[in-house]
Amino acid sequence: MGFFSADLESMAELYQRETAELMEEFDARQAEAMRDNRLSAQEINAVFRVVHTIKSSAAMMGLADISGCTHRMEDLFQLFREKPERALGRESRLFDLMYQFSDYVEKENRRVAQEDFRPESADDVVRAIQKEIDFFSAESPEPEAPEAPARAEPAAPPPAAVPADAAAGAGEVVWRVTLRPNCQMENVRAFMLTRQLADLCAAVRTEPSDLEAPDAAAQIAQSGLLLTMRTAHEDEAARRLAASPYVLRVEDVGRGAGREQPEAQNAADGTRSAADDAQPGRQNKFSMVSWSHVMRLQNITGELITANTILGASIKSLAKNGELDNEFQTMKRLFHELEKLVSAVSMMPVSAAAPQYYRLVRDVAAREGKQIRLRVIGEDLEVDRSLLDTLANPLIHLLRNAADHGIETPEARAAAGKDPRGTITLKFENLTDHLRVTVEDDGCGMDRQRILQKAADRGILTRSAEQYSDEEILALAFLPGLTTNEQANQFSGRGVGMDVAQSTANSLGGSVSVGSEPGRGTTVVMEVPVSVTSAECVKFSVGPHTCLIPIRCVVHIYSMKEAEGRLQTVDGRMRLQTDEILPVLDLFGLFGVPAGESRRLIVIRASSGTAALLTGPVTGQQTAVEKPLPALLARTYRTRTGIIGCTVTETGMLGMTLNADLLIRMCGKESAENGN
Amino acid sequence: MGIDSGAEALLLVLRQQASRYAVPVECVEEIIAVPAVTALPRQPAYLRGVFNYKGRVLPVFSLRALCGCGTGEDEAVCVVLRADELALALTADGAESLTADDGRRMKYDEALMDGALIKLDRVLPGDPAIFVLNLKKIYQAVETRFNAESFA
Repeated sequence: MGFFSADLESMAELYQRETAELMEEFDARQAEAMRDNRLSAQEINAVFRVVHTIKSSAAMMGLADISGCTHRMEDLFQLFREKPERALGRESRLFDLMYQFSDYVEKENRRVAQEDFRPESADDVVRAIQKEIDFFSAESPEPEAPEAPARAEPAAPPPAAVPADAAAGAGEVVWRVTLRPNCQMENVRAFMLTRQLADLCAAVRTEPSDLEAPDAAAQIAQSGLLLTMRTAHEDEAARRLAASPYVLRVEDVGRGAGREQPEAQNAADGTRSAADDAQPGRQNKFSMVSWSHVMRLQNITGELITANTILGASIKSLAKNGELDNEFQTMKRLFHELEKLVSAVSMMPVSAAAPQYYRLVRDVAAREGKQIRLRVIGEDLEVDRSLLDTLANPLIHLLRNAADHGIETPEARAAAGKDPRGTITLKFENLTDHLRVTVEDDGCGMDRQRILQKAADRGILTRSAEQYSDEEILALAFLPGLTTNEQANQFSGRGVGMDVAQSTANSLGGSVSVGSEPGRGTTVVMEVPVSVTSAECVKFSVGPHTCLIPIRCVVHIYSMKEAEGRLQTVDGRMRLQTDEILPVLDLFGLFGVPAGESRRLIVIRASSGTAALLTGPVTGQQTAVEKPLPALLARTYRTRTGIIGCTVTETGMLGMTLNADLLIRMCGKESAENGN
Repeated sequence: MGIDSGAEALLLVLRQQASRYAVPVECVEEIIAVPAVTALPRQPAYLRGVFNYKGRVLPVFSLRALCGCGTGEDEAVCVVLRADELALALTADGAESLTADDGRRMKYDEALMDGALIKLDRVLPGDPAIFVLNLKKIYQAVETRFNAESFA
């Protein structure tokens, strides 16, 4: 039998979702505070509201440990609410505690909907919080402060002395919010509604005033929730309330003097209901959707685009005189609109992923005795969540490397005339169809001699060390397992960071490059396509194989006749003379198939450079929905063939999607092996 | 439940000429006609190619070629198999029957593809031995061979 009783079991998933959402806010607020290295009153209040809400809902779910530790956290933050300067200059120990707290709550929350869930004791967390309560109370006694209540009251709403509907003050508005019947936990819903309005309203009072009172839920279920507030954003406040899935109706039941009636939302009878909001232009704006459903929708959209491509080819061969052409084009347009819509649904701001990076850098700095500031630029940028999730792993590796091996100790930095505090910059930029992510540190830079030495020790070098250019030496750092560190520690040093960055970027159809200056730092740039669903590709054959390469990487296509006079062979290697001399990669040789008579030279460009591919005929252009290669063909096959995935072509058979960056790197390798 | 656990398992028996191989039935996703496959550059003989199975690209292995008994071009059935996150398709001459197996009778034979096959004898008196395929190990073995041989 599960932990929850039958009536609460159905609520577990809802509780989990809401708590996850609240903890996201908790993490984000902490990240903001860490960025500024101070807890503002706004952040203190926000954290207080989060823990207060979780405390209430956990108590209702019978989760005494969660409820207990959030209660203690609430007590702690009440201290800061009373006197924010208590935390001043001592934020660091508070951040540690916040991490310990969020680790516990988030871990419990991940398990809560599992059938075999049993709460884990919060004793350690509670003890740790209590220690901080004692510390912060004792260190900053406040004789005039009001007696700390045994149970802290929520920041919003403060108790209302009189029923709100009878006491609309100047400029205030009173709304009655009726919740849907049997929505349960009415008082928690009420609190969450007030929380949603916090940034819009100068003050919110509620009736019942004490939402934690034992009869609050029943009272709200029976008579509704009265909200009294002063706001300049009435429309938005009303929209937010109506958007809640638990709200049945919002009625305007009174207003104080000194304020004009808002024009947009006052119906003649002063009533506004969720049903009204179902009208076009007034519908509920948000609803929660399971991420797995979004992923499924994304996959199905990809399949639809693929199926439509095949259908298009059939129509072309079967229909006469352009019959069905219009219909097919309409379908194509609709599918692309669907794709855009699905992408929009999947978007989330970079800031949602940032807290983990702040924490990581802080942990490494603390344990290594370094001073490091992480700057995240582009936090407001919206990116597909799948992409953000996929990028998390390489970014964690790169940030670890930067913090652990890039940034020097404060002493070493000071000796080198640098600010003892190092800076790591994590920058997100949207380049139309590409996302560029840069990890830059102002540390010691990469030691080229050590990279060469390590590569030589491992037998990786294919020619004498002196023949390697700067760029080629840095490229060696991308090889799996190559590290210049003598000892791995718990954070990094096994030579996987660069390798992971490259394999991830390549698997996404993107590229990665590195730059480094001794004593000045290292910059790693990853560029990946923004769309995880599809990409426009040039299609060509190489012997029996159909290949596709993103059109954005294609610079020019030469027939052999056009290339005549431009092709030269130096030391057995082909080169193409354009504005510059480009290496040519023979895909026939690479794939082990005989070269056909009709050949082309496709000039491609990526962050790693420019090169030409010797291919068979170009057969068209196609929207490619990339499917990953089987795990069997994971890394080695990709790096040796440049094939990173498959896509269903118009014939229904699979084509190979190629990665320009990998192919260009192969040219460099081939060049190196030939001693050029 | 599976072949590693020693617990009772239901097996799907695949025929490859005179030999019989089996896979735990919980690993069998579907038995289908041999699909049209796309050959990959530099693929080894035991890999027939890849195909689009319900939106996922799966490798198709020939049981006959894996056993080193020729090419699998005329194999008649294709079994889509899944073991945890790994998925693959295997072509064979035929899929014969399901048989109940008692895990205690499985006899691990390390000589066969480094544990990829588990010899199962005495299923029925007089029956030839059945070799139970350990999918994960087969996948690993093929991966190693593939990377070593394709670019040798």
